[in-house]
Amino acid sequence: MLNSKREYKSFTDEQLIGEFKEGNNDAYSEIVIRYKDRLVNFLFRYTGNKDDSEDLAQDAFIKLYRSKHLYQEIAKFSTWFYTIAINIAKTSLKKKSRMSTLSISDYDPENDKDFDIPAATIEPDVQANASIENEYIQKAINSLEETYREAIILRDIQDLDYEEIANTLNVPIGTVKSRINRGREKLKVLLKDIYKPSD
Amino acid sequence: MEINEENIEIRNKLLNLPKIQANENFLNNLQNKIKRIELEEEQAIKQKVRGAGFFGKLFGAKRQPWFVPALGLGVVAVLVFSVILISNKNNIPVVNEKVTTMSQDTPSPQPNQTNSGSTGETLKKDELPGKEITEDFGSNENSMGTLERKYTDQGTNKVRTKTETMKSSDNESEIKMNNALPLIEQKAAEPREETAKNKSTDEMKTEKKVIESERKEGTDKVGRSEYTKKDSAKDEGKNNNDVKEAAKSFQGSTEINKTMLQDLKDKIEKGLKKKD
Repeated sequence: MLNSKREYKSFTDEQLIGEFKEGNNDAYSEIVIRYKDRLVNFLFRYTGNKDDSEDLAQDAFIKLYRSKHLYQEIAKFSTWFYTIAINIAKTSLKKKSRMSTLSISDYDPENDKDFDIPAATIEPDVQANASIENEYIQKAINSLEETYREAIILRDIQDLDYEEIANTLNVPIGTVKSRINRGREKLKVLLKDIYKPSD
Repeated sequence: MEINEENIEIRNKLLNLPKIQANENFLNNLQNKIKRIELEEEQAIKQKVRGAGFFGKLFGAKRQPWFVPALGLGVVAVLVFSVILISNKNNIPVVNEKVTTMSQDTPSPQPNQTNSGSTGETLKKDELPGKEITEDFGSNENSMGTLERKYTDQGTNKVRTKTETMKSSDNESEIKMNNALPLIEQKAAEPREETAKNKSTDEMKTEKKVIESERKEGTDKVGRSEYTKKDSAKDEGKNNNDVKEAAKSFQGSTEINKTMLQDLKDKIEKGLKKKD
């Protein structure tokens, strides 16, 4: 079923979803092939867990498979599909937060610090290691508030433009910009030991 | 763009993060999940086609919200209607049966059956036979059952026991008598009016004979079903004798009353003369 024909590779996303709405499953296969890595990457950055990100990506594709008739050509397909993925990820995180023994009260809103990574984990030798650095960045991203995190990921990792992000998050563009700016400021604070100003 | 310039380093670092790729089995897993979902949907559709059964339709998830209270009201209405209908049907023949049983019971007492429980009033009235005759005669006018008392008041033990059995011969007939008072009173209206006029004893005799003959006819027409065939033949002969004896005793009692009244009048007149 999920074997995309070569002819669909030249189709745009909107054309593919149009074909799929007409009952052509090959178009759906092409969509899956195009978006699976992007979606898994986005969801991994959003959740911080590889297995969860794959499961959530599959859930998003199943949602697309069953809700194809809900797509309207007014919006860009990528925007619509990221919206589906974000909603699924949010729902999953809420379920996990209910089930987990760790309380949200660990977050200290008075100091407006999302998460302080212990300084002892950052050693000069470790800083040189890229994988650990990436892990450190990921932890910093995960420590951001949800509104900042999703905006930062969509802009700086998925490389969507502001309009797409605004449509995906269903907020004005100005709000998107401010969220991205504040999110980056927070990341800078969290990653101050890694990234020193180059000037 | 100003935002990007201010935090360009962080943006670059985030953009350069390694891209996570999906597993090789991602497509297969997705395909399996989709197949499983499709199977579940097919099963759900089949179940819908099959239907949910009688109780499922009545109380299932897709029932109409007004259905259960409407069904309850309907059932209650049907029950009430049926109860009323049955009670009405039963009442009409019960009244008819009361009349027939009355006509059967009163002239045909069964001497072998006794009921000591119903003798309380009759025994007390035996102590004052003179008054009781008039009272019982009055009570005879009120209902058919008072005739029985009158026989007991006459004083002989034999007659007394017969009247007791008449009362106790059929408890159901007593109950039916209470229920059938209007119809009984209609039948009893004729002797009441006539007795209220204080007719002479000869007329009373003839009336009693007529009443007794009417009752006999009623028993012949209606009510042999409650008795067995053997007993009914015997009872008829005995009843006729009993009724004759009762009528004789009634005549004697009225004559005695007349003589007693005359004696009383004489005494009163004598007393008045003495006072004068």
